[in-house]
Amino acid sequence: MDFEDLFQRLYPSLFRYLNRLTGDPDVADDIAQEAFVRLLRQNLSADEVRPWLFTVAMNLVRDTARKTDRRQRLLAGAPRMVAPLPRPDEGLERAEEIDGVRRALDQLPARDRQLLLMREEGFKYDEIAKVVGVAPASVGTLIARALKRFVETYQSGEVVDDPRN
Amino acid sequence: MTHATEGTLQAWLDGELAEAAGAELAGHLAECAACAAEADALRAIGAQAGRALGLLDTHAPSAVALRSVRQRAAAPPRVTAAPRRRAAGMRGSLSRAAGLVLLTVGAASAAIPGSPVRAWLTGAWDRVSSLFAGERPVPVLDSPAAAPVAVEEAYAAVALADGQVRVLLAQPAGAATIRVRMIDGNRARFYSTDTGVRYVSATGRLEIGGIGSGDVTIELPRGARFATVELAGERVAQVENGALHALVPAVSASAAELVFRAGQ
Repeated sequence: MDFEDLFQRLYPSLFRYLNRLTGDPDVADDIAQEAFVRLLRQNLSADEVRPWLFTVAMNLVRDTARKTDRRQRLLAGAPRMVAPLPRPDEGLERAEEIDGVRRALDQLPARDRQLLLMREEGFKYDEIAKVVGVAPASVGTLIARALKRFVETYQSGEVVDDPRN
Repeated sequence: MTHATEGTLQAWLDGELAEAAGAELAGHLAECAACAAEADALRAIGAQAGRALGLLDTHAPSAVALRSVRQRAAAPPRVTAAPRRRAAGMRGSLSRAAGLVLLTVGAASAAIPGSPVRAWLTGAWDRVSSLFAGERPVPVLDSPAAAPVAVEEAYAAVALADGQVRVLLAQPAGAATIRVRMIDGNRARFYSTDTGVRYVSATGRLEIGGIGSGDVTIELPRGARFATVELAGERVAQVENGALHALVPAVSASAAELVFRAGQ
């Protein structure tokens, strides 16, 4: 397996996943790079690489969150306190929309966030189940509920209480 | 009629049902308006979520990241000393005695004018004190104690210090192109095609020297309270309140990038 080919194929997806998860492209890049560095020391089959990379990346996100107070909020599901600056090439409306998505995502329980984002990256249910740590048969239900909660929160701009949490 | 569960419908939409089960469900949906409506609703929610999440996406720096991965992988592993237990008996006494001798010799060497130990300590103190004093320091790259890192393809990133970062470029030896861009994130970065470039970095500060006639690109974080680029001691660009400003005439200027020519 050529490492550069593997990198070109998997890094964009891993970076996108981590950027969506952490809201910080520098952290996403750092963690993605570290995961690939660790991959160099492994001897995995082609099928094992992608789930392994994402599992290692999630562990690194948790480690980073434990060490940094600001990133602790990512796992706690609390909303961000500071709105991002609008970009010069974007209207204020778009910046507010982006902030709304970020708030809705941050307000999801950590497990639901991970389920949604892995689904967006095209993972199979059995891979998601393994990485997230749930029964494969429950993934469909969990994803459906996480999607509903995310979209409701995003569209309403309010926190949606779930009695199960 | 047994209606399809939410989980089964979602799995069907995501292509996760086995062929036979999927065909059976498709047949049911053709006959059950309620389940068909639920499937349509889940499909719409999935599409809305995908569009929304896409708004968060930024450019993935693949090329730079691959170089960085290779550099990280090639670097010697950090050795973290395991906590040392207090050495018992004679072995412990000898260790402590040896340490005391080294400390005494080091202090004596530092006291000698012109000693390399003294020069290293002085240089280190100057660097640390200048960071807090806010004064323009003596360029660290001129100090033999700086030990700048020579890299084949320069790339470095430094974190902000209290929302600020200074990037200090030494005067290029040749005609160089300096690009200053504004990016997302909370780190300043630099890249260069010039293989002679050296840099010294600390939180909130990046010093770059050894520039010949290649290209140097500096990226300043949009969210910095204050981020500056200085060339040979003169401020040429800064980011403040999410806007990039040229402080000297630039070859070209846009909201996101400034280009300067420097050197001969």
